[in-house]
Amino acid sequence: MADKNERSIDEKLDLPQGTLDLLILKALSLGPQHGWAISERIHDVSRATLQIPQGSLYPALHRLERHGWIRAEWGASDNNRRAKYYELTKIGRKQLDTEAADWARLTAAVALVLRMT
Amino acid sequence: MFTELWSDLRHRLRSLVRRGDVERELDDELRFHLEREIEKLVQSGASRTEAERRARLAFGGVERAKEDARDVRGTARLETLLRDMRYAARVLRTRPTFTLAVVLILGIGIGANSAVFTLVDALLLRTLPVPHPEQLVTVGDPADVHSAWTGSPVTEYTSYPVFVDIRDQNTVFSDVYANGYPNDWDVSVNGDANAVEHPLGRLVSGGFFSVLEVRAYLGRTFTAAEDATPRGDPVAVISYAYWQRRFAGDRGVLGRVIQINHTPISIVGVAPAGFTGDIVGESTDIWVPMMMAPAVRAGPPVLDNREASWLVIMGRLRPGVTLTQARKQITAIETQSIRAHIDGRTLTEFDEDLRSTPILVQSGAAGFSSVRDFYGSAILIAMAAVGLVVLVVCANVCTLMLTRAAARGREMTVRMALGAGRSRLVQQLLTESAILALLAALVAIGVAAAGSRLLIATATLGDAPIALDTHPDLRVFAFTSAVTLACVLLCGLAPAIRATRNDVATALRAHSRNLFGARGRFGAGRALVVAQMALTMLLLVGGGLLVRSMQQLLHVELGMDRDHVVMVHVATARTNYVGARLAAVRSAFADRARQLPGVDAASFTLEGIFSGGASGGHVDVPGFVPQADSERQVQYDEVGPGFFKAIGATIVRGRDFSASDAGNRANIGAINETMAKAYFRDRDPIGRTVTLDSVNYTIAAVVRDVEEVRDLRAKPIRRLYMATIPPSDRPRTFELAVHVAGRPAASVVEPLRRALSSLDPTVPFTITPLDERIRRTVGEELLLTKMTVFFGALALALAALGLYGVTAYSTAQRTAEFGLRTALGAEPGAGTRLVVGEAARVAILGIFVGLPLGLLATRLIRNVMFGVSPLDWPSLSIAVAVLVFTSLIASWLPARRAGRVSPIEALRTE
Repeated sequence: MADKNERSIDEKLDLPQGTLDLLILKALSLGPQHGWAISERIHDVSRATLQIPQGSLYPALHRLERHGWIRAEWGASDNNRRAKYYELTKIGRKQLDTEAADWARLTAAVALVLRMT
Repeated sequence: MFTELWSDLRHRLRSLVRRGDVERELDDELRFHLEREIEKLVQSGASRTEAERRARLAFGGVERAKEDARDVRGTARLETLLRDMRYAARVLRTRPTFTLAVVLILGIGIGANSAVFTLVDALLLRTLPVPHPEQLVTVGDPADVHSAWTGSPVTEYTSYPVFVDIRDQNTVFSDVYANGYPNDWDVSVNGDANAVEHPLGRLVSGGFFSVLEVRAYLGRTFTAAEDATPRGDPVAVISYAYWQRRFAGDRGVLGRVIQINHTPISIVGVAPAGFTGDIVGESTDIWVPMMMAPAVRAGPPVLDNREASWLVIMGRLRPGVTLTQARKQITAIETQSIRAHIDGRTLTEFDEDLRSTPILVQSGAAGFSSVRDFYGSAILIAMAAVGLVVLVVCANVCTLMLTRAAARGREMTVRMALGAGRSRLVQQLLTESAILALLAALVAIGVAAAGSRLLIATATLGDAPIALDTHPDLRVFAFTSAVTLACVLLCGLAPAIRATRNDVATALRAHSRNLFGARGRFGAGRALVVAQMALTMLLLVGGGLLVRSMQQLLHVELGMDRDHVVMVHVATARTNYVGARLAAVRSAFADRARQLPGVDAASFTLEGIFSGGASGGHVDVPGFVPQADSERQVQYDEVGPGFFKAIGATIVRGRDFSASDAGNRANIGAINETMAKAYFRDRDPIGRTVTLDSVNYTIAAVVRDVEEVRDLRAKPIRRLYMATIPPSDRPRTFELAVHVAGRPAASVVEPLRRALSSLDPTVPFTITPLDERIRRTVGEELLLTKMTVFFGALALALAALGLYGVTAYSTAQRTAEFGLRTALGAEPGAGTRLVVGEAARVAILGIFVGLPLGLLATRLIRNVMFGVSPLDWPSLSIAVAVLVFTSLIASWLPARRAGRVSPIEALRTE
């Protein structure tokens, strides 16, 4: 497990600029989570291809909170410790839809260009 | 959108206000994350230590993450600023003397500048508070708001018939009005004739309010009909300030009847707040229509009298008409209006006068003002003086800041060595300077407000205060603050620049090697002190000259006993004393005064001395052939028996007037020496005759010239005194001259007041010692002298402070050098002499720069100087001596230390 982790650093993809917000919003769309769980969820779901630099996760969470797209609440974690849970707000959900649509259009367009011969 | 903004604001506010909570939560959150990561790694088989290492590695820098998270809050800049301010406050508190000195120097400098400029603005620059003041145009000399002249027409101010011609014939003004001084008013508000007050009133023609476009706050202003019938409309509009002051803002004031010079006048309106009339420096209380002049103005009839000039005129330009067009047309109408009614020699003289002094038609945006004319140049010179003081203030604060910068060099170097960036240091120092400037601004506001009031109080000579809006002028306050702030900031940055100029290692080494190190490094500070000395020298030269000139003015030989004469102005013009009864009351007043203990002579005069009044005429003298008409002009006065003794004049030949001269038809006269010389040369004038207005006067005496005019600088005037003749049936005032022997003149003022009141309580009079009257005539010079001396002293004190600071600093820096000198056998005191010698060189350099500047600057004050040449050695040497002496004291105090440094002490400072 440890070895695999270290190897995966080489294979890990750098996150394109601005996609971290989208990933966080998407991760939270399934339900409230704390920071570590968000990072794990993205890691797992992307089949370990996307490694979020954990240090940059928290500034991003706080920025989204400031925008009012997510809100935070302290609660008990699964192992009964105090953790800060983030939850998508109504406008956060709207933002997620917009950004997801944008992303789909962008990738489709890029794919189209790349298929050009 | 709104929710996002709100969320953003709430977030930032919380970060700012509950900073501790937010930080703790951030810590908790990050710790939780790391612990979960470690747990995960441990579960997958890593050792605890290995897990911790890998978790941290995966996370990246925790502090970095925190810093990023803080940045996201959007309050990082503000937090740094608050931290800087707290630090700056701490730094400033540890050096209270430095802080206090900078704050006070800056505060006084900015404040004084604002105070003087506030006056400059109020008096010279500000426009009348009426709509479109730029359309207003004045005709005549705007300073002549109290002038009146009976005789051949003048053009500085006009008669009512001339105004009517201008009003009816011009096509350049949409409307025009005339404003005249109604002489003093006795106003009785309650109908009680004994409780009279003296508000300031003006007689204005019907267009006054419509030209100025001022609407009534209450009631109405004047109607066109009120400008038609003499004595027809006894109405008045009062000012808002008078309404508040006298009627406590009572709305029932409309329709109320007051007595003005015993004429009932009813109040029909109140002018809006802030409108104090068209005369700057004088707040008008009551306006009465011009047509009421016959009822309320003492003196000769004016409405149909082309000989009585007493009006200044203001018009509003029609749209599209330029000032030049207006000037051309108004000049033509006025010239034509005057010339049509004069002939012969009067006409020739009028044309001659007109060639040398054209009729003034100029912008009236700033209104009329006699105060402006009287004090204008003094205030501009004061502005220059205070500007110099501000320069000294800047130089001084720079010196202080540089001294401080040098002392903090080590602190800056160490902080840079510890990794503080240059921009952080700059920001830190800027914060410190800004706090200093802020404190100084607070002091300055107080100084400016108090300063303006003090200046006006100093400038006020009579009983009526000069009414000026003295709210500190915000623009100049901002400007001065900006200039001084810039200088504080620039100088305040010096430590950062100094510290970052060299690389850290060299700087640290330089600071640890102090021996001889300080010498010559403080060039900037010395240069600033030289500049301060030079500017101070400039002010001292000017101040010295003004003081000397003032002394000459106040002690100039006037030909009379100025210290022992009391003048009484008796306002019989508004009583029913005329003819023989007036002659009787004049004698009675003089007799009563003469009975007082200490009084050895008393007599009366129609014009008075230094009263501002004068009469002139043309004389014919047998045997004298005039070359020009002006050679026939003399001033004359009617005086009572014993008059020359009463004013302490010297009779060169002949005798004083006696009681038998008065009232007889022999027409006895006396002439002054200037007149005797002009008309009789070497012949003896006694017994000869002069003719004035077809009356022959036999000369009984020649008296030494007595200066009786307002302007002490005027050339001697030919003067004729006539022994009083029986008065006509026209009421008029007179003045009493009372001579006091063997005691101060002021001591008889009270007894005299009691004695005269007992004669007839209904006759109003005012008593003034002659010397006080004379001083009032030189008010401008007095104010100017006081201000220049004050600013000179201020600059001197600042310069001394600057020299003290620099000397103290360099002495402290050279402790090691002085210790070494002592160790090498220098005698005690040698160090002190060395330091004082250096300071003296700085001062002398300043004097050499400042002296020529000062001499150049005397050009500015040349026309207010009297009896002193610009190269006045006594005042120049005193200025130099004062500066040198002050410099020696200022440097000797801190230099004493230099002579007492022991080698041990020097070693300890290393």
